[in-house]
Amino acid sequence: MEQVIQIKDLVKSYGKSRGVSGISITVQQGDFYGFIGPNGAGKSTTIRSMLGLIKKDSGCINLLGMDIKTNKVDILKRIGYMPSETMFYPTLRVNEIIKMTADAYQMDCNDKANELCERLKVDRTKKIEELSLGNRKKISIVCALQHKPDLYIFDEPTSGLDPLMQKEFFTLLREVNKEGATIFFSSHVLSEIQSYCNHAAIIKEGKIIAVDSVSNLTKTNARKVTLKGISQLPLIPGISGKTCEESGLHFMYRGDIKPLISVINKLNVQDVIIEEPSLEEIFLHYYEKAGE
Amino acid sequence: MIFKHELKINLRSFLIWTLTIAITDFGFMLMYPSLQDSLKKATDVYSNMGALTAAFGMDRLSMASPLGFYGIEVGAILSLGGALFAAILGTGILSKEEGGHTSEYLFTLPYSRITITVQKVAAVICSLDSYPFR
Repeated sequence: MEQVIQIKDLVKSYGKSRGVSGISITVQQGDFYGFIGPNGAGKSTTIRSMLGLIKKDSGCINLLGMDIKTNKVDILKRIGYMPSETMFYPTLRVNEIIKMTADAYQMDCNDKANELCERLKVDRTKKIEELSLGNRKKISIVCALQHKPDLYIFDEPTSGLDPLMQKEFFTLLREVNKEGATIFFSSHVLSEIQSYCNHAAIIKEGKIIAVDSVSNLTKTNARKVTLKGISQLPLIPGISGKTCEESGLHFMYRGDIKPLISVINKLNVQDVIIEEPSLEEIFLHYYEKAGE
Repeated sequence: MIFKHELKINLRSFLIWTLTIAITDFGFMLMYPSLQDSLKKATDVYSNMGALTAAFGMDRLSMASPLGFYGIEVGAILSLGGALFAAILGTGILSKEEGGHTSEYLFTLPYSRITITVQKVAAVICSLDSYPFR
């Protein structure tokens, strides 16, 4: 199978501050790939380097089998990109922006654009300056999807979109993914990655700390448990990071859930919360693993 | 494409500049009748200043006549305004993309940076050519 994205040892630093150091990512054709990390971890830096928006210090970036440095225009023709901070020319109208983008790809995208505008409920007569971030994002989605590219790259696509639109957006992505397109998107929302992606890479402080299929990444089945009303806990295997606060007793539990529940059942607890760990806690988990 | 877009974006500031300069010039011409007497004296003073006289075209035109006044005063405003307009347009062609955060949109369209720059510069030259220089 063809490798659509090949990044090898990408290094980019901004003066003294950190950028990314030694990132390597490979994405196969037809994959739905998630790129997770907290703000400032280097997600946008990686994506901007991929698109040739910023110059990398060293490393190799190949998209669709071509080098971004030498074949930028050919690559960009086959990419649909949506930046995280979507901004267009404020005095133009939505229609003009969509037309201008289609012209840039030298394609007649009218049918697809109409369909997308209808599904995303885009008001095409408004001026850009009248639109909120969410509405600008919707136009950005139309601009990224209307020319039916082979590779979609999104930088935090769902920020600013309401839940209904997020759902519609991912439905659209699933459709193009089924048709064979490759999707690469960054996010700091773990649930998005969990629900839609096949593979994911976790980035922290400019380094990739885990790359695997999403099912493997979440297989850790660690759960964050909060018990209210007690301050002491009998010894249960699989517990880590126990802290006792006013709000209750917090700990991480890894393993089969049944023995835990039977232990809790015998305790005099007021309330029990068992939830999926947050992204930071998953990070911690991977950091602990890396330290072992 | 970028050329056309750029002209469109610049159109408003172009019209504002042209209109402002036109109104200023018109205002100067309205002032002419009341200045007529003092201008005659000024012409004598300025006539012997060598290079400066030539720079304002006062060796060829007389400020004391309406046409001469127009040529010298209005011409000076036109070229000053034109130079300012050129500077604003020129510095803005790329910096406005950064400032307005539109660079990420423009630079990820399938154009090379050279194409973008060339078309933008061409649009600036075209805008300046339409500006009513003397």
